[in-house]
Amino acid sequence: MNLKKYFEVLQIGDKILLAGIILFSLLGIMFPYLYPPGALSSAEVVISVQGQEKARMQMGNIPAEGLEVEVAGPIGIHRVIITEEGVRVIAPEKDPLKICEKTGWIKRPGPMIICVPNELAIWLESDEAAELDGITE
Amino acid sequence: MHIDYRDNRFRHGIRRIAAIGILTAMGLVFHFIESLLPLLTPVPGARLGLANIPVGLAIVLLGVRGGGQVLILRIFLGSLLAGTFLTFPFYLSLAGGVLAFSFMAFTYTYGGAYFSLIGVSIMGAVAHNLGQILVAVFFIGGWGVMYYLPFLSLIAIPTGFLVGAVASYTLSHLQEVSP
Repeated sequence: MNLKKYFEVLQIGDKILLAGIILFSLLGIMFPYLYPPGALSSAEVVISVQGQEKARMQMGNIPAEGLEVEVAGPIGIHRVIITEEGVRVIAPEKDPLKICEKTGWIKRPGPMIICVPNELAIWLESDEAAELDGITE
Repeated sequence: MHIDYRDNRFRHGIRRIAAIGILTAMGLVFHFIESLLPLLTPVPGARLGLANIPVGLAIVLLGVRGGGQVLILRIFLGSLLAGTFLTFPFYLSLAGGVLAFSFMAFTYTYGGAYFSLIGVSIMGAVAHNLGQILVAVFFIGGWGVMYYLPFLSLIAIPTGFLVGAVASYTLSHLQEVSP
């Protein structure tokens, strides 16, 4: 198919429309980066072990250099690293799959870090509606 | 060059009924084919919009009313066949479709001198996304979904372009065919 033919068909209105959409889209994509949401400081990080809540901290109260928490369990000590940006876990050597470490940083309410062998779960909680992971139809 | 479609062959009588039937059937098949295609982008809701081809054709060949009839028939029959009638995908499809159709009809009717069918179709694709996002905002109850709108409208450019090109290609050949 000869696409060039269709570009020649484009009218002045089409070109203005295209330029407008591209401009709007780029601005819209950049916008969240220009004004990062301050919502995380009001969020709370929750550490739960064996189904019981062990710790709960305001993300706003986390020191700038970050915070490291050690959680002991049957297979070793998990290091929970909390910064203003988010939370991640470093698994002990004995953890066979290290799924919790591979989850990486969680930076918004919604996703969860889970370590099954140590029965450890970590997530961010916020009063504001969590952004959805996805919608299945 | 603006292609001037003054093709009145399908506007009246039994030909109109046949054309609506054919275009609705096309829409249903495209809708089905599209649901089989895997998502090519990480952005939820991004689709090719193949089902918009018959709607665009109907607006040109049958007028705005005919286009609306094809759209409504497609959405209702499609959701009844897929078993999603009055569920979330149905409302998504309805809102997107109706908003896309309104924008397309308006652009084609009043902006015909400035827009080619490709522009009309891109307008429709962007409006389709807008309608879907608004329904998602309404159902989910948060404006966070709006985050996807710029990505979706950026994707709407190539998909709308494709749909518009296919529609104008079809129309230019349809004019050569004697009834």
